[in-house]
Amino acid sequence: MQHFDTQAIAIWEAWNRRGFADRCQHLASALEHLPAHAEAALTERLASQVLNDAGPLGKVLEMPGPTGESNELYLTGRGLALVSGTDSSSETLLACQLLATLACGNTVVLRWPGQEAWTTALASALHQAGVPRAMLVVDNETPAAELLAEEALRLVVTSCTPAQEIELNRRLAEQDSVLVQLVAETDLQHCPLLTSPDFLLRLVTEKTRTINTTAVGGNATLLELGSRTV
Amino acid sequence: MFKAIDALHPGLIEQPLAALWEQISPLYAIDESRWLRELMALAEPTGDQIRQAESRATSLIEQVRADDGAIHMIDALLLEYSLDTREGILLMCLAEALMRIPDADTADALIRDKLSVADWKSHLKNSDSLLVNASTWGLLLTGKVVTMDEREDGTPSGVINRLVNRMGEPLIRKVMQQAMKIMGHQFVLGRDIKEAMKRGSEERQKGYTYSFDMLGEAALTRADAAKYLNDYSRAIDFVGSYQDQKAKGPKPSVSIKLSALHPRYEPGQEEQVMEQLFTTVLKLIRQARAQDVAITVDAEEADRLELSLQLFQKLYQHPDCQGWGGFGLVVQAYSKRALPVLIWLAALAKRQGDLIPIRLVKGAYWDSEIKLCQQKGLDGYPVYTRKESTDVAYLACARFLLSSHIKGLIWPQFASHNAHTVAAIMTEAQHDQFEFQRLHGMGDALYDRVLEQAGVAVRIYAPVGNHKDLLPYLVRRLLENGANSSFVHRLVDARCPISDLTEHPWLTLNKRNPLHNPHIPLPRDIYGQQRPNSRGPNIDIHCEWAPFSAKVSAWLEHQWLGGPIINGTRIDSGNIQTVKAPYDHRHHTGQVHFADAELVAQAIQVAHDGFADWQATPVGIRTQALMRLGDLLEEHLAELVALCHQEAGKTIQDSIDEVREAVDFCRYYALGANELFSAPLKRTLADGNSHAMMRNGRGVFVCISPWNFPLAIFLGQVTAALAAGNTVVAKPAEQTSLIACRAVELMLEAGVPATAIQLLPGRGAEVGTPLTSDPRIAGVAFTGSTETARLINRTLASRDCAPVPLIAETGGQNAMIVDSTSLPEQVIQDAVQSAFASAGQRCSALRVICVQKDIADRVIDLLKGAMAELKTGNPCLHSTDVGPVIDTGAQQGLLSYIDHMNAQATLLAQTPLHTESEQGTFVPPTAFEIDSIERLGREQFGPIMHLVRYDARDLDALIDQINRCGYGLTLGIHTRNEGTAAHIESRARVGNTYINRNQVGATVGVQPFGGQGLSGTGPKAGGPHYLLRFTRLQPITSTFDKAEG
Repeated sequence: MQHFDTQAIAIWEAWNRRGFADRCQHLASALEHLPAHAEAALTERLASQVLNDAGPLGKVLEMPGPTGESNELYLTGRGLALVSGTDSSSETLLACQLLATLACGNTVVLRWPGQEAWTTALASALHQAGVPRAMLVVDNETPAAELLAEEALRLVVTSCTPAQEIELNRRLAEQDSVLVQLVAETDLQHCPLLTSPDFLLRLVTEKTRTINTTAVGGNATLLELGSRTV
Repeated sequence: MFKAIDALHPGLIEQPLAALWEQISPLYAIDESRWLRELMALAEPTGDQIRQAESRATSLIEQVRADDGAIHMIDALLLEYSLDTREGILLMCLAEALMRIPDADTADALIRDKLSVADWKSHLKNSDSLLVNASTWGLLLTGKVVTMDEREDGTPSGVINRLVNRMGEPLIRKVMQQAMKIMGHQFVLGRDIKEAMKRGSEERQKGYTYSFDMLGEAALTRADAAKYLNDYSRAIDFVGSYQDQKAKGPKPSVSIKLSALHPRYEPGQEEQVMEQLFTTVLKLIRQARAQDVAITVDAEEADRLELSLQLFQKLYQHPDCQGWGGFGLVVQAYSKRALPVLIWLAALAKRQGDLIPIRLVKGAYWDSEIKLCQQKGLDGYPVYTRKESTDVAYLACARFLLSSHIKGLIWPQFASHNAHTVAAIMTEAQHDQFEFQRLHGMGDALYDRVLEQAGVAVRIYAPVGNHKDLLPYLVRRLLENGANSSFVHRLVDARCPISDLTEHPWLTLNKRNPLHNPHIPLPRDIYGQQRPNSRGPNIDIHCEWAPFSAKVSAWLEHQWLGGPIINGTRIDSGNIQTVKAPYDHRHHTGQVHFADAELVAQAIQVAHDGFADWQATPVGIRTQALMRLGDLLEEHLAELVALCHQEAGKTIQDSIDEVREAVDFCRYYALGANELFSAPLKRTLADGNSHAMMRNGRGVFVCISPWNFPLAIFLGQVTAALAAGNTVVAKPAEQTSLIACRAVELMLEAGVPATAIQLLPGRGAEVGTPLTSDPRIAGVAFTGSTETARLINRTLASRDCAPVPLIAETGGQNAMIVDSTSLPEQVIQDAVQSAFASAGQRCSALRVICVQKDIADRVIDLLKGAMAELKTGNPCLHSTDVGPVIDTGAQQGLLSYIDHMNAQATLLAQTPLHTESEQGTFVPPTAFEIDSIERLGREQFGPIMHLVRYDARDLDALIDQINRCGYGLTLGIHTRNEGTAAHIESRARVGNTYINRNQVGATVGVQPFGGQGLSGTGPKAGGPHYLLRFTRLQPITSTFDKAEG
């Protein structure tokens, strides 16, 4: 099983480059086409909130610093994410977590054992909204252990009981690979994580870009400042 | 501080030389307004002088403008492509890079990259100049140098694009290169001295003379220095023997650049400079004197000034120079030290009786001087921040040089293209014992008038050499002289009223309030008023270095004592470790008591019990203590620097930077906490209700820090956790426990409660494991190896409690990608710094440089030469570039790897170790060439660099290989092609990318630092999201108590 081959990486890079606002726009257009479920209104409200929060994450922060250099901080997706439902999950939580993970620029393997039809319909709605197929695949067949052991895996997003969270965390910690981020909602009533402003930050990685703008030997901006007449 | 006006008193230069020398250094970064008031007193013109200068300047400008032929090649270029247009900048960027690109594909890519950026079409119609129109063809490129208003700077032109499509890239490339050659031809008098003398003949017939300069980048290697020496020597011979019967003016001279004659012409290498460079220049002096060719030493960066003067004095006073009067130098008027330098030189001449020719220029490194001071956190700038201030300083210096008591001591050579400056000097001068100088290709019309009317000699400073080598250098000159405020293009720009050009700069400056430029903040203020930049001394400047060095030296024999600090009390555990200096194990730095499991339990209990109180402490009080800590660290800089030498083996600049980074962390997180945690947030939860939420600390945070940044990372982790309201149990690296202990002592002094910070020095197994397995631990911040991070993660996960945040910053297998548009000299400086500074013991250090094969041989040659010049040794010495690695274990591992690679790869270069290296844990800086990045195994945390060649067509495959390493910390990119840089940056899965600079030394709040993949979890240290991970949001009004995980 290989969910992050060369082709998938290329598609992911392209998805990542589209930016948060563009991705959110596409994902928002899918909200009214999500497969039916009991709390559809709640899903739409929470999902809208998540996407509203995600859009501004595309802002490139210009950091202060010495003259002659530009320093920028921006956010991108972490890479391959497993968005996984458990018997404690709800359609609302899973859909919102999936949308958030995609909005943040990650490639998603979606899995919810026992809910194959619903997950397939959910993925289909998002594909129709413009999410590339390689960015979102449903995989309910591959054993969880095998998915968790995937070398490219960077992120696991789930909703589960506290005990399941501890167990899942231990399994991830056993891997001899990167430290995979576990983002688990365990308070299914209030969803404090999903509604937290920090939630989306768990799904992204930060990049800093520093450019020596005086590489050709001069700094016209500074020269301009130097010649101001006040 | 001496009074500038005293310069006019003849008695001043009678004072002892040493006393006058002492006046120079203290002005290095003196308060600008205060010093300008002094200079204004000296430079103040009389009403008559103002009127005369204005009248002369007006007349000169009118004559120049009335002359149809006045707008010569370069003037025309500057007029059309002034540097306040994007096209002007792009022209310079292209000129800087295109000619040196050896391969057609990369040259074409650069041309393509630039085509659509600027509005060349608008320039095609404006100029009659052949050069301008030829250049307009190629004028391309980037947009990052200056931010301009898109509405004013035009939309992309389709003209060139259509031409490209029609004509094809090879032809366009040829045309572009031809345009660059035309530019080179205009800027450079001759490709060699013979051609230069021949081309200069016409001007010499008019009465001009020349100062020839074999220009180029500074020498990085002995081989390059030898080549420049040969060039200078040949030039002196040729100039000395050349007979031009029609020439009217004085004999030409030769200018030399000291940085071209020695690869380590820098204050830290004073011993080498005063012996080797002295010998080299003395040979040139003997040769020049024998041929009666005057020599002028060019000015360079401000940090080299004092060294230059010392060398000048030694040469000037040598018997072979005595009695000559042909050995001179350049003084830059934008330097605050210029006047006392001139006074000292006059006194020197007075003692010896030999004339010193002095070229007074305004200065050519202004932008880099400003940048460097900001980066180093210095107290001020060595240069003025307003153009009119430099102009006034220039006239003040001129008044001194033209005063009667200086006549016969100094031969002033006034270099300026400013008609008013020229007029003011002509007004000031009461004798004719001076000359003017101008640059080749610039100011022709102005100086033709001066030559005709003033009867004063005019010398043309003329670059000589290969066009492709010289253009980058000259571009810098043009950026300096062609700025939109510059006189050069306004002189010939009929749209600019003459009255704007003839106001006396003294009057202009007198209207300024304040006298300094408030738009250029002092280095301390670049982050705004709320967060002062950390301070650092400039170790290349005597008045800063001498007292600082004395303070550090006083601590070098100190014996520090450290141990666990629990509830504010240092505990003698009995498990005593002797700390030895890594550079010399004979030297004992002190002793540290290691903690055990029992102390771990005590520390956690105290921290656990103290959490409620600390969390309840208003954030403003918490952060006040951290701000105070930052101040205390600055107050104890000398001790902490000494401790960094003695316990961590850090060099002087590394140690200063270490403390500065710690200070920046204190202030950045304190300020961040005030902003983030002072007021509640409102959030709508899943139940649809809006809740007021507060960010609170999570509980007891464990901070596990590394030995390579024993103060900065230690305090970065701890202060973030504390600012967020957590209590902290800190476990420093066992190798650097004393520094951590001292930091905690200062923390307590700053007002952090004893229950909020606990320190547990000790071994990982005995301290780290018990700490991270305790269920009361609410989070861990860790910096260290990837393997240890995994171990901590497993230990945390093994607990029967909810997962807690683990913020891990781990290693990197960091690459630098270098394409053929880059400047090899700059690449090597940045690569050597990135790979070998701190003995390669930085997470961000360069491990593999990937060089486009077309330039690899040149890059390798430079690398070998530069590595041969590195100095390993005692890190307390200014001359040491590379100190020891941390301990014997690290040393053995690295040496084994070098042995292994000697059999597996091609050894490119290895820096020899110093004589007493066996007393410490040194590893020679080493570079290997390998055939693929995939040969790299795990990170080697030391001074070992690998080099791979790549084909430009395989750039994406190279990026894929780098990504496949799994690490993702730093990446360096060297290219002049912005599109290439952007492409690589966007594809590379790394945390920090550095373009056209070194890739180490991330600054807090400027370059948030941290990686991805095997390099860490994020969020980035020193970034806006870091503090958040130390907190949890808790509702103020609701009873539910489960927050996010």
